[in-house]
Amino acid sequence: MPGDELNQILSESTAEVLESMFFTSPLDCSVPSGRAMENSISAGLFFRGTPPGRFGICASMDAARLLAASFLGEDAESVTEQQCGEVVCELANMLCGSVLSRMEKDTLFALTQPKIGEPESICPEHPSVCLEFALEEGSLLAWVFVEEAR
Amino acid sequence: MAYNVLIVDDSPAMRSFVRRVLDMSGLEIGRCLQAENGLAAIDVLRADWVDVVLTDINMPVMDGDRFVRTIKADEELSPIPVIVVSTDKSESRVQQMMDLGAKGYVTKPFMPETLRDAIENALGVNRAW
Repeated sequence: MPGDELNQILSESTAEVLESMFFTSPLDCSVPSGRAMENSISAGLFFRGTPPGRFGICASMDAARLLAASFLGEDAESVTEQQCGEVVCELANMLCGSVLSRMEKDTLFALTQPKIGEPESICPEHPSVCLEFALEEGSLLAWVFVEEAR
Repeated sequence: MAYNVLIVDDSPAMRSFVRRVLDMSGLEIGRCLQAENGLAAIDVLRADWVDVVLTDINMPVMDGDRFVRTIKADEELSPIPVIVVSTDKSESRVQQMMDLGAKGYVTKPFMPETLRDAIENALGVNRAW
């Protein structure tokens, strides 16, 4: 799949998931500078199917708190780090499902459980696509590594 | 009439979200029970009657596929309507779960009203507003 198409799929999927489940919208979308995001939570998972690959996100702590608070209906100050982690994992799961269903409408994919701090959560050096979304608070980076695309 | 609901999902965050959506739905919710996988959900269903089950597919221990098969093969549990709530939007998966006996299929992400409509449809509720 061409990179531009994958870029658009990731961008549209992220906007859809954030708007419908997190009641927020990305303010901006750009290709990340390559600088590592400090004070952040990363979650990733493997997907099996045709094509197979990996998917991951990295949310700044500000963004993770905002997303967890919106998702759980709580104040950003009251959400715990554990809740932030759970919500970031759930976001990774939903985003990956949304991206894959747009990539291959009728292919059955099997997704592993999203994990934090495991090898699958680390963005590969050359992902198939990687975008950074500016949110109301902080930013969210999402990437896809499609094995077939390499 | 208040409806008892069982939410089956390995993600505590998603269970909380679904619970919140149910509260916002306008449906009268009675007891809202939760389980982290299909096996735990079977235990809950053996102990408590619920009107509808909302289940994820991708879960450890017992996934949604095996969970629905188990319920539908059980004479006592099979009448309980099951709605699948999953990120998997593929037509094959939707058809597979409906063929197994699911009464509805809601894909994540979803709008709150989509979940409400699926529950009403599964329960045969006619909205009066």
